[in-house]
Amino acid sequence: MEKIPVIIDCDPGHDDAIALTMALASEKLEVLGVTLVGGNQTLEKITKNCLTVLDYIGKEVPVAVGAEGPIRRELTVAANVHGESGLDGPTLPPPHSKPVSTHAVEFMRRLIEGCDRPVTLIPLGPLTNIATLFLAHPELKAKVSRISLMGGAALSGNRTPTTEFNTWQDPEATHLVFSSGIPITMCGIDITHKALIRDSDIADFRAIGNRAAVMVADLLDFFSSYYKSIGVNETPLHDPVAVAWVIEPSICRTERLNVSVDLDGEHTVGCTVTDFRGVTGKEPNCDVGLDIDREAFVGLIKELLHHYDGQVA
Amino acid sequence: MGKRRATRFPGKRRLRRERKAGKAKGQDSLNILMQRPSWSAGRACRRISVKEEAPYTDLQNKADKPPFERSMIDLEKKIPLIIDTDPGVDDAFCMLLANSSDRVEIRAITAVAGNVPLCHTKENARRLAGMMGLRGTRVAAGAEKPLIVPQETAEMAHGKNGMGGLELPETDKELDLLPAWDVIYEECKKAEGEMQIVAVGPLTNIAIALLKYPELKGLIKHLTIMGGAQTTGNHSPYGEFNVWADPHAAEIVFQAGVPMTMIDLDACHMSYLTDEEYDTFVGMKNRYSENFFEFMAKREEERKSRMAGTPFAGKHSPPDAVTIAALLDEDLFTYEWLPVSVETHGPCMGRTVVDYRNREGKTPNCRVVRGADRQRFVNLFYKMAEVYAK
Repeated sequence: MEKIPVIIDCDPGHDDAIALTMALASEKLEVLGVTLVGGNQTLEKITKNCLTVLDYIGKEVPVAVGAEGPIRRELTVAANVHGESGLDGPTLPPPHSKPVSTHAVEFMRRLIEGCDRPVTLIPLGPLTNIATLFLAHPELKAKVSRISLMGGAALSGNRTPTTEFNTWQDPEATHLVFSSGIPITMCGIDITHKALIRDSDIADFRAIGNRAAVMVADLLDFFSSYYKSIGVNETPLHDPVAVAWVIEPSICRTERLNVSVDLDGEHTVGCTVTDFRGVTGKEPNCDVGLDIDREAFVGLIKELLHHYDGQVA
Repeated sequence: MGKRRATRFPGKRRLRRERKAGKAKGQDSLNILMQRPSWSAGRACRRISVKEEAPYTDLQNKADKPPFERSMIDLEKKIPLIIDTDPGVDDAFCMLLANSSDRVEIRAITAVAGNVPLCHTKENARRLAGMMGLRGTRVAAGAEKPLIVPQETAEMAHGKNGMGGLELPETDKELDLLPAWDVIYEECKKAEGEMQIVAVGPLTNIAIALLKYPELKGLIKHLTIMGGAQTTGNHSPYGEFNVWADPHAAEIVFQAGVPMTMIDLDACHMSYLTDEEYDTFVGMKNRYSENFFEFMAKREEERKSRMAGTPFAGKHSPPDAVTIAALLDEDLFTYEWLPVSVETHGPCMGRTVVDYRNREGKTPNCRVVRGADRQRFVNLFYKMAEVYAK
């Protein structure tokens, strides 16, 4: 079975780091490259975090730096969730790798053009780099077979009552991606708030014992402390859902609906407006993630973490 | 601690403790008492905040040193130039005026959708470059449509093919293989910081180039745009066509930190040829008289009746030609460095908001035209006819 070529665009970020660890462990995926975007923290911090994680788990993959902030808005970081460094929690040795000298958009263009088959994009942060890629190279849309993104909220919100953090961060980029015509799987907080990690799961991950598994457990300890501080006892693990959908789509339930983006609402800017009842008459353009098999999800994480057996913590 | 009394501001005690402990230095007591403690987030109470009116400030004192001054231009050297354009009748005037000057060397012409769709603008750009014999100049195609808003074009002013019905001569000049933004970046890198750009169409190409290449903004010496309006617009009450056609691109460009000059509709009102002067110019025979200038003069005749009674009556000022004239002659206009923002939605969409009195507290980002020496513009046209007569 041929591996699926993927490019991961992210802003590590605790859950980004775990998603990267999972994707690089999967035999079903071929990670062509990783691109970085300002989001959870500043571009400088998340670049360092990404390289730190990749070096620590011993994975060599080219990393390209992208947009500092949204297309036309100012960046707002999520230090309350991810800490000052963007990856607070575990103490990891500083990275020795460096990003490539090419900018992320040109880097993605080369990867997509050079690949012998269509590529899947897995964006885990604000969609700034992806939108810029499609603006600058619209001809490449034909070579992207699927976008499985972590972002959006059909029925709730986290950053605001109606909007999830990534789409709130860059509504214009979100609009450009959702109107691109490319098949999209939206792994928004509707599905990720059901991908819940319990303390017992964190203990199980730690018990696997290898370096990557212990790192993931430490990251989850910090990540879950934010949710516990707001009274949520099980931790939704967002970005790994977008990766899990590509590896094992059967563990997710999606519904094909029309999603458009609010660009100038007073209370709702960035909202992924999802038409459940078909009232807008617009054509469905998105597979909206609504539910996930929690046990299977946790099982998948454990299976992928075992890939790193042999590396001592 | 004593018995706790009920209070409407449950966080008051903590805040008072903090103030006593010296944590809230420099804040007056009302501010501290009105601070909402973090745990009450989500309670349904309306906070009424009172913003202070921004005082009038003398902008010249407050402004940072402008990033671009006349003294930075070396009058001995030719200016390497990229023209981003949507030909467009006045875009053609712009290109002809630029090529008649020995001040500039046109390194690239990049076409954008605007006055008419891209299929016409890129073809007109190619044919004009061929007609003018620009062998070393790259001609590239750019954006087909605006970044976000639906596309609007201006066929009623430029005709269906963008040239008012004129058939430009065929040429074997070929379009570059790369898109406009890649060409802009490559040429700016080659020019090592000396490249100037004149953008006389919607700013879509420039915005995409700046998004794709963040380092580009440090490579552009100066950007002169035809766009905006300090008073009234043309395609909407306040929106001038280029900015109104792609307000998001304009906003990205104005916010990018590139030193720039805005030649707006009001500048065009100050810099024009009278009917007499225009007739004199058309009468100066040159190599482009038959295949361009005389055709356009005939169109002006029809336009006269449309423009009668409007502020443009009796004035011939192709806006894109006025824009390149500003670059060719530094003394044509007087400017002021001001903060300019772009409104991107609502009935004022496309409005260039010029903050003369610094009410929004932003730093100046653009030279805005405040006065003109009209005769200098007229002289440039006469000189163009002389140069092409040779």
